[in-house]
Amino acid sequence: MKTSAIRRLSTLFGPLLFLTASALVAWKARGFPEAPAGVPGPAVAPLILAVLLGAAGLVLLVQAWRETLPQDENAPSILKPLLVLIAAMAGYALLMPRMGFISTSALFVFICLRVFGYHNTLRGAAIALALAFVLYGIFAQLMRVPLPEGWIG
Amino acid sequence: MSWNTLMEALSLLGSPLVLGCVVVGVIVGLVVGALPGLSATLAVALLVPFTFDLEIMPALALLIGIYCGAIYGGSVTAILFRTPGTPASAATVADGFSLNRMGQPGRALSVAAFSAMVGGVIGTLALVFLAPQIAGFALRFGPPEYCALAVFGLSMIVSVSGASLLKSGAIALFGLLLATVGMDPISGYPRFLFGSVSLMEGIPFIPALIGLFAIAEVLRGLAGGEQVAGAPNGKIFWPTKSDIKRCAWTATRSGIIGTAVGSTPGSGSDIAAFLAYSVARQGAKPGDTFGAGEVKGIAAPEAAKTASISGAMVPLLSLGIPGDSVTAVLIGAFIIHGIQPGPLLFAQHGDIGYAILGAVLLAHALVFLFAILGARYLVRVVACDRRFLLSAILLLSLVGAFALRNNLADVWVAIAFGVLGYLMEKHAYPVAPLLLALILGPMAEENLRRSLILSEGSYAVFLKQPISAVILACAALSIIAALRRQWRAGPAEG
Repeated sequence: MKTSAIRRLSTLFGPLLFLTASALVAWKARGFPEAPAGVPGPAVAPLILAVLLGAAGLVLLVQAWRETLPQDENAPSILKPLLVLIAAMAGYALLMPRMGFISTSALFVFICLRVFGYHNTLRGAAIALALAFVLYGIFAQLMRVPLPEGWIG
Repeated sequence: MSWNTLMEALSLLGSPLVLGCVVVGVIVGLVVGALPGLSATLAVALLVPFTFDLEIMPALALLIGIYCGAIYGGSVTAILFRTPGTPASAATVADGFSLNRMGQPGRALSVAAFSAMVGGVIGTLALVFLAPQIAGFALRFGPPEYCALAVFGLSMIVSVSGASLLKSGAIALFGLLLATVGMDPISGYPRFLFGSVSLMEGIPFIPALIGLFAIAEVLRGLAGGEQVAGAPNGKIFWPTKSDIKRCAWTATRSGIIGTAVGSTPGSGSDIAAFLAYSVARQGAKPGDTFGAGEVKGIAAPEAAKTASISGAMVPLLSLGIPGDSVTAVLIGAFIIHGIQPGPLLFAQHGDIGYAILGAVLLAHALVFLFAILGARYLVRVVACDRRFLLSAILLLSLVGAFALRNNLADVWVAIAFGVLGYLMEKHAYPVAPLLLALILGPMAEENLRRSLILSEGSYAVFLKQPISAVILACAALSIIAALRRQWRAGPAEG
């Protein structure tokens, strides 16, 4: 897909989000039970909001389509590091209960430091481990939050 | 209030243990409030078990100190890292963080501390002198009034957020839709769960907040951005005379708003902060730079949310009704220690009642003192390596989201809202209407439907009740004023 097409699609983020949410809610709310006559049921508020949001989404879609694309061809692309960070967060949520809090947190911070451009491996690892231990102390010891132990800890 | 009761109250408050508990509570509250994901409610709830072995007054002094400290502490990270530690601090982000980026973090923190103290003093004076009147007024509120209050809050925030009223309105509607996720407040029917039991109680607010502000900010940090300048080390940041003069009226007015909102059950410090910010912004004078480092934009939410603490205690102490979630936890602490808050509190335990008022005032003063003395240490954090800071904030955000309910689903919510917040800001959609819609949505829907049930389906009930009619008229006026402003600015921005 050409860059201009991606950018065009990107400008439609809001309207597409609103139209999708509106359609999804309207479709799901149809199955909600009806309330006795004269009394609003569980579908009333979502349906009213879905209709209003759909209308707003349509107007915004037309506005966005008519807009000229912003000239930011020379702006550095952050798509790759952005996707790496999102993947790292998802990986953290998946691995923390299995590997344990300290090891997963240290690994996560280490990856983040690399993404943000810190390339000193040894110092980065030490900082990541130290931060994981500090947070473990605050949350698990001080605040009594039961953090996962996992295989490694 | 008899002389003897006052002396007994002062004697209770003056005991070294009670004073020590207020000091410790404020310090713990400041630290906990500054940690994203740990709200004042969570801090008080987690620390209630620590008070089991204490007498009633030291226990309450500790919890009140934590409450006051945490409500202010949330603003420290809001100003320094654009990461509000508590929902109420979200309103401070726009101007607080902007001032920080302009190289004046100490000024932002000192204005916040000063305004918080003004709000705290106003709120506590109101608590002492006006409690019966304010509580009596709030008692008149029924479902139509609460629904109208929610509509008013939303209309105010939509009317002042961003350049496009349509975008603000659409994002508020989207937030209201998200607020319908979970059990229906009237029938209990599960809505839009998509197979997740974790969504039964609705979208968890704190993880959503962490995502929208903290995670989204870190993702934006990928695009680069300059290292935020720290202030000179070793300096104590007292508010300057010109800042005090500039903020005095805004802080006073916001303190009154915060007290009134806080004393209305269900309307907590977050609503107070946003409402006061909206009012301050609506009344902006030429030269005011709201959203771009305006000190009044810090003063308004800070004074309001601090005043709302005392406001929330009005119905708690005089009626036994919690004003917000923190005071709901405090009721539990009262009962654990054998005291039933309510109309009889001052009649039967006048010494404790007035000592509580004194503890609230003392806690506000200590928050100011620690905030001013500690600002020089806090601003040093800003000057540390941005790569470490962003990595630490991201980890803290994920752990904070998890810590709320020890539930991994909350971490996923934080991640989803982080990506959403990033995309919203990239495409000029304001975050505040979404946030307020998430807070006010359940209140609006529940009271709308209760009103319609009571009126047998007639929407005229909102206009027949004078209070709700006035509130709705104010909501309509705020939207009309925003439309007029936008029309004058030109169709390009619409």
